[in-house]
Amino acid sequence: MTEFENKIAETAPAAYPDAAPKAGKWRKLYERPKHKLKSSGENDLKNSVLGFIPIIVLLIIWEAAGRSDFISKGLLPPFTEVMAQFYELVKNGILIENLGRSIIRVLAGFSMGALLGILVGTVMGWTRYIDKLFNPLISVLYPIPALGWLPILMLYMGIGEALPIAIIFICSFFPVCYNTICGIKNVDKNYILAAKTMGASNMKILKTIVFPLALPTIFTGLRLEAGMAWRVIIAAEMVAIPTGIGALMMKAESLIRMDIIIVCLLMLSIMTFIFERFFMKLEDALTKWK
Amino acid sequence: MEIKIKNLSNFILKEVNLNIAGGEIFALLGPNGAGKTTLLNTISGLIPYGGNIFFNGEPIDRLPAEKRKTGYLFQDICLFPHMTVLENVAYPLKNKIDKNAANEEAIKILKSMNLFKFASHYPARLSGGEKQKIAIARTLSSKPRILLLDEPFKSIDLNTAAYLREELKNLLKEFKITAIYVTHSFFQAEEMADRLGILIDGRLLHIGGARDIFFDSHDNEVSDFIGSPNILNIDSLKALGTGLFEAECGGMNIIVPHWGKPAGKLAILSKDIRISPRNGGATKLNQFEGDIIDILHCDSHFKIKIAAKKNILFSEISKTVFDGFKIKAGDKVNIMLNLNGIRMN
Repeated sequence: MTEFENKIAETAPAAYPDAAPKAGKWRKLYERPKHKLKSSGENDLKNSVLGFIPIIVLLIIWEAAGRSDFISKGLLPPFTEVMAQFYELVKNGILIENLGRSIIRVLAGFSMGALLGILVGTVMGWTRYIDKLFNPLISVLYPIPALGWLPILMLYMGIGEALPIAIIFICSFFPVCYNTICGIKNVDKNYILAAKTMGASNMKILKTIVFPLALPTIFTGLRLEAGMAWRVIIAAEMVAIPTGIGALMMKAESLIRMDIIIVCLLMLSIMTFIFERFFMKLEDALTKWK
Repeated sequence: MEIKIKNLSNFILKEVNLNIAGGEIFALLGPNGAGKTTLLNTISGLIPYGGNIFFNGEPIDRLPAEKRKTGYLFQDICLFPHMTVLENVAYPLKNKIDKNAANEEAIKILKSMNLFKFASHYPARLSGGEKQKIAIARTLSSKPRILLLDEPFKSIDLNTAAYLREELKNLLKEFKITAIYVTHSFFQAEEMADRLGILIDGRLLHIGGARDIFFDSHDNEVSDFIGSPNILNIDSLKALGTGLFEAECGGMNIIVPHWGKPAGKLAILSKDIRISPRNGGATKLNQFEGDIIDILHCDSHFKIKIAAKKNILFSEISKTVFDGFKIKAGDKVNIMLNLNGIRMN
């Protein structure tokens, strides 16, 4: 280690043992703290355990009601039978195949829609004349529900893999774009002025100040739309596409197979939960400073 | 770095002319909405203006903000919340040198200002005083030619602010940085600056030393802003040998702080003259007896005109205090002069 590095080693704060140089790795000082500012830990665990209690109570009531004589098993199969059906659908590959198709459609449509939404939203939020030019168009198209586009898209594209992806793309693009515009515009102007007086170019200010500070708002949009994409894909598959979880539900409905319908609904709930959680975790990782 | 401002005008400022010498600290005082922050923003190139600004004789009017090399300490600190202290301090440097060199330089600055222990902290974890210190470190890290300070200690407690002002003044003098310090407080301006200017309604009405404003300014708007000083002629001045002098002014023996130069006049603001209804002889330091000649009702306060020995003094008191005292013209009162408010020339 050089003399300068040694000096830093002596003064590295005790509260940040990671920052202490080890074998010349004094540059660790540049790294951001790994923990989030808000302390959580024990409380989070406690809350998670508490949150499971109503679910367990509901499952017990469901099981009891399904096994009682008050309701027909065809209308409400017990939880254990639904789980058995779930195992069966996984074993014969039907669930995996349909769920797989839905996942691919959501991932493809959502990633394209969200990425383009962030890109267009950033440009519109940052450049006033582009915002003035396109804002009326976005404002007109944004309120149209994604499923409202289905008839037009069916006529243009026909029934195929591109149709659900296009629906999810539309469902994701407008809200993510709108949230990104708001996030970029709402960054405190004083931060921008401060960065300017420090010699930063406009592009650098956007990249290093404005975009990172807009991330919490952008992520709110991403989180909500990740869940919405699943709701929309199920609806689209139920109406117009012969494969996927939504289509499986429609087939089960025609056979009056309540157990399969419930399995599909559980899958929808789990996938929505996983997608929303993914974006929550990603947001936490990218906005540790909050 | 010398600053020359010629006929500067925009939506608030009106024909502002100002020369600031290299290394000078210039305080800008004025009421809310007078254009103090606007003047700083025009100098740093953040808002458009008419007229000319010269840095060391060179016109900078065509330079954008990012090329003017001015440091700006904002009223609300403006540390970037998503960056650690080290990243904040290194930010201006990264616009000039490579990332590693910038970080090394930022570490040196933090260490020299005893702030290194905060290097990995986010601003949200720091106290107001710590944040302000980091903001000063960040502003100085890019070695600005000129430092613009917009009421930087407004949101900090009085003791910390006083300490930071002193530390900042030492730094500015040490690095010979030309600075413009915006404040509402005459006391702060006097403490920090070599000269000060009073900006009212976009016009720079008075430029000079802090004491000059008391003794030389005949502008009504300036007098109203600083609070119409009482000026007394000093008949004789006697050293007390304890860093204090006794000045005899029209029969009143007033104890004043050491001035070090011969003085012919003494000034004290009307708000620094306190009165109370007479309840016995006034024998304490800088306390005198007086008779109320007249009572003037202003917007939120009363001005009491008092005859004390051969002098006529004005004291300013709030409506609440006035109502409590129940005084009227012709009453006798005790007068007390605030030692810290006395200035001599």
